[in-house]
Amino acid sequence: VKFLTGFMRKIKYILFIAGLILLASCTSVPGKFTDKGVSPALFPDVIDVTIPVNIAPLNFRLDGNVQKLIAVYECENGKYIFHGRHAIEIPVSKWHNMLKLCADKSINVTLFSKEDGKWIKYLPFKINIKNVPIDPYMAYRLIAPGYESWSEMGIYQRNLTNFDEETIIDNRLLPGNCMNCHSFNNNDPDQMMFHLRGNIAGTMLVKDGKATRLNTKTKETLSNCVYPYWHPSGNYIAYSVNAISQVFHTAKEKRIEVMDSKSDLVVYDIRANKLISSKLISGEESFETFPSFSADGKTLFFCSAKKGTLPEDYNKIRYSLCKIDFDAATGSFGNKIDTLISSFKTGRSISFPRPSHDGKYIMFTMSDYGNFSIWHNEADLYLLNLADGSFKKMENVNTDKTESYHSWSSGSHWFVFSSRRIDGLYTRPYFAWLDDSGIATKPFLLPQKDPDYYDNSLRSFNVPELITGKVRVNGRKMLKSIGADAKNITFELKD
Amino acid sequence: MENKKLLKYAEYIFTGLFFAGIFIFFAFFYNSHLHFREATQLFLLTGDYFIAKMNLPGGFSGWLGEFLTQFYFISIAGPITITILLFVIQKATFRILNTINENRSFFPLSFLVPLNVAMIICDEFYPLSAVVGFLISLLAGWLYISIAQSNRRFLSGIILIPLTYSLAGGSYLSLLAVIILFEILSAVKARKSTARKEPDHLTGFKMVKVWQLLFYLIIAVGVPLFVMQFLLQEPAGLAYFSEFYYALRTEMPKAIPMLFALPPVLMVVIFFLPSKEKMYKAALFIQVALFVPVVIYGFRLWANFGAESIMKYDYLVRMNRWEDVIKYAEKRPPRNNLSLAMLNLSLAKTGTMGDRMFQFEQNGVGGLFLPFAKEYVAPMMGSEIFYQLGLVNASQEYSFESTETTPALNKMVRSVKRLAETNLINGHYEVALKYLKLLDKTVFYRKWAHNTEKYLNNEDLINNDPDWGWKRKMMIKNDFFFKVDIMEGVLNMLLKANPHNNVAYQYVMAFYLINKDLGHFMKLVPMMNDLGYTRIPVGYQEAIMYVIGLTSENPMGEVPYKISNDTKLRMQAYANIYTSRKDAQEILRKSYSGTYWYYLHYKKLETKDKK
Repeated sequence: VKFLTGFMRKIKYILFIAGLILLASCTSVPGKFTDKGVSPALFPDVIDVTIPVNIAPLNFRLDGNVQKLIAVYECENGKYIFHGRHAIEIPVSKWHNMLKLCADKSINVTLFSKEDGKWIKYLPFKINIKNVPIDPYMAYRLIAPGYESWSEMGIYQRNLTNFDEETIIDNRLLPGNCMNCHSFNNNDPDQMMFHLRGNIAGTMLVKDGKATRLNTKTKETLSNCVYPYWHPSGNYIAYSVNAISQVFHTAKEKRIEVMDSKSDLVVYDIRANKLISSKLISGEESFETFPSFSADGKTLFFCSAKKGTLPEDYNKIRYSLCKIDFDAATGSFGNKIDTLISSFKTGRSISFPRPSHDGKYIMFTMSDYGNFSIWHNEADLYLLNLADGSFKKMENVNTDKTESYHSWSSGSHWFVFSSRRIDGLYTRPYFAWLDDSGIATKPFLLPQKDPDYYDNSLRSFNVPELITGKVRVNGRKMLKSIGADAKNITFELKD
Repeated sequence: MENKKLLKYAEYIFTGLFFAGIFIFFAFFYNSHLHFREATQLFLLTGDYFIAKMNLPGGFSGWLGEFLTQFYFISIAGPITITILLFVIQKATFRILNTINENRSFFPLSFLVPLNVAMIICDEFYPLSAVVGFLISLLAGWLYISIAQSNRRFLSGIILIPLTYSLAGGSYLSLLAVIILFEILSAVKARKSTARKEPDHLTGFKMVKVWQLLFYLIIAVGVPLFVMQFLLQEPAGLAYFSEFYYALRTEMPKAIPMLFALPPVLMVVIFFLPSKEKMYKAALFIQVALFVPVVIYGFRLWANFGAESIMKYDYLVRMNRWEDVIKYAEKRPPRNNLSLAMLNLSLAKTGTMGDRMFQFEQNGVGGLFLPFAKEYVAPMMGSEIFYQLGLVNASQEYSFESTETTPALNKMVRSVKRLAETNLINGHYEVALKYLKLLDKTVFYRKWAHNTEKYLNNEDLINNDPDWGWKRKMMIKNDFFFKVDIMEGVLNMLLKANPHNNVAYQYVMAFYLINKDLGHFMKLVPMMNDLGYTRIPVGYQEAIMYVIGLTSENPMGEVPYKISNDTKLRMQAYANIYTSRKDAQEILRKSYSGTYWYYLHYKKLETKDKK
């Protein structure tokens, strides 16, 4: 007993000393260090980014011969110190406390790293906090950036306030099938659609908690419905119908070319279960694609190019940004098409016009030719001011690699966009803030708990769509409707 | 006593022979299958990879199966691993059966289980994780039956069933059956021995209660249902059987439920066999005698030596052992386009395509290039051909496609390695680094990845590398769209980009010869001078002589090409038979089937080959 008591006393003593050491190491910054005088090369790059107050922790790593990291986060209202070996991974609750404390302010971050046994101090950097939250969820497809085949893939949702990811639907549940083009009405998770391709083909429409599988191919239309956009009323979805093909380059600069040899626009009237179109948007002499409704629902924007012979003319097809009036009450189109940005003037090609929810802007992608901009390194994001018709390249968000798909958060300030800036191949989602004068801040990468996540991931993030909440009708709940016969749709060509 | 010893020796000899046979079979007759399996998975030795697997039912067996499969990289490691696993399976099975019937005369029955497992894994779609998962269930069964006290057994049962499901997936069903049968058969046997007043090891056995057995069933049905409903979105079949027993997720072959059923079935069989402590020589003899035809029939049913041969070709090509491919082809000529394409590639790489390709039976353009058909083998092998031709993008495409079409939704280490190379050659260093970082996390490719990282952004190092530098020199500069069914144009573009690409030259010549397009062939004959040929390859000589024979009155005389006298004499002899004998084909087959003339006259082409 004596021995045990003595032993326990020793243990307590050791634990106490260890605790003190731990406490000291947790709360202090190195006393001696070398001031390196340069900014740290962090991955992801979080230096001087602007983030929403509700975003998940911006964990990062510092590459090189790093033995230990200490990051000091300071704003007027408080100070936090975090430690790591080669990465700073911040607990979600502590991070959110810090962001709330520093809302609408900048956090100064000072990073110390222990390299070869010596401490180094890097130039401090800022993280700017906007007290305007971003939509808390994002839906996206994960798929390898491949050619014709796919392995594991699906549509997933990520809680942007933490690191939780859930499957909406994937091909683990539906082996051999593919799902794409998920779309939401005004970022509403309860009004969703996506396409299924494979042996259970169809378009899944989810509304009011009910899922329906639609057969969107009619004898009058080119194909199944493809690229979607909801009408703000929730009563219509505009689609393109496309004859899509792809070819593969032999020279090293490019890999894949995806092109439409024909394309038209249709609008699906959900209540009447019919597709409607007009000769003006389904003409033989032009290709129309990527429809989107204006915030007030009175205008249908789309991309249009003069017909060409494919694949021979693949690098001569250039899409302009156009619009046509749409009357939601009668489901009818205007009698003329206006060109907002002409490809004849720009010499370039537009894809993915996405109007902001406040009706001020259209964000779009511009590349040298064609419409499948994800395979174009030169593709960049542009912003059209709908008030005066001017447009400009979004300088702070573009790189020499692809910037392509994009989606607005509900408040029309935050937006997410796809970029291949990390390695030129795997698409990753970035977020940025657009201020009232239409200037974007430096974007930040979708935060992950493990900063090595993107190194290990062999799938691209396709079609990132911000949503105001969690999608509740997932694949399992849709199984019955997926298994049921697809509902056929009728077609009407309006004058 | 004497019988006991005899039985012991019989057991030792049988065990020794069985496992020696297993080892020899996988080491010397089926080793390429193991190499193939190793190359078609990407096992990362990281905590994240382990956790990702553990999140799935049966994930531990999946992880351990892949962990062990990576050692197939070393030729001898695979057979050793398999032999050890099967040995433990046999021991566990024997222990379970021995609890029901202690008579060791029936020990050969316990070998049926490892035999079944050995047969199943001859099919490349059954991964090693199936073996590991099944073994886990047997070990769990062994543990369960070794617990004497019924309440403790019940407690262990309610832990072991979900635990086995979690670790090993579907084989928990086998465990469930073993547990239930053990309880019932042991209770019956104990009752009988008590009634007969002949105490044995089961005397005093107390079965768990019936409601407890029902509880087992409820757990077994309920746990996968819970997983399916709340944790994973999976079809019911996968939720119950898990994805680690068969590579194709869309189906579960009967062999797996049959394997799961085998231990319980054997328990019932052995229950009815005599259990007196004596040696049944006749029974033992019959078992051993029956075992031999079962082994022969089983392996005939499961072993695919045709596939083994293809995989051997593929393995040798993957290792760049071109001479060995040709030697192997001399012993085992290609029997389909996959092997033939690998042989033709090896001939081109050794510069002997023009000399030797018609010595092996050719089968049109399909034996030169492999079309992509949404499966992973042809693009994987086809990628090698494009890579060696210098068609870096096409090789990249095929490699990507093959890894995306692997049936188990995993990635292939072989493809990742190739993608690192193609991106390095193309100067896409960030992507190359991504793949190299993944390979850094493997056991056997780490060193290669580490070394290759030195090449990133180092143009001189790449340009001076004998392989990657050569591919850069041969690279296509003027872009066009690639398609495997327009290979004539593609090959000519390759030659145009670099007329010193001898592999492409041999392929384009082979393309024309195979298509009997001698007009285009003759136009390219002068290119040999630029490529530094000191003599005309025999196959080309034969084709040239044929063309001259059609147009010249005296083909045996002076011709504007360096045709050897041997070729001229052989052509004369061939022509004599061809023109004078009605049964010429039969006669020519014996001595001239390896000539271009024979191919030209007697090989029927499919129309699509002419593309």
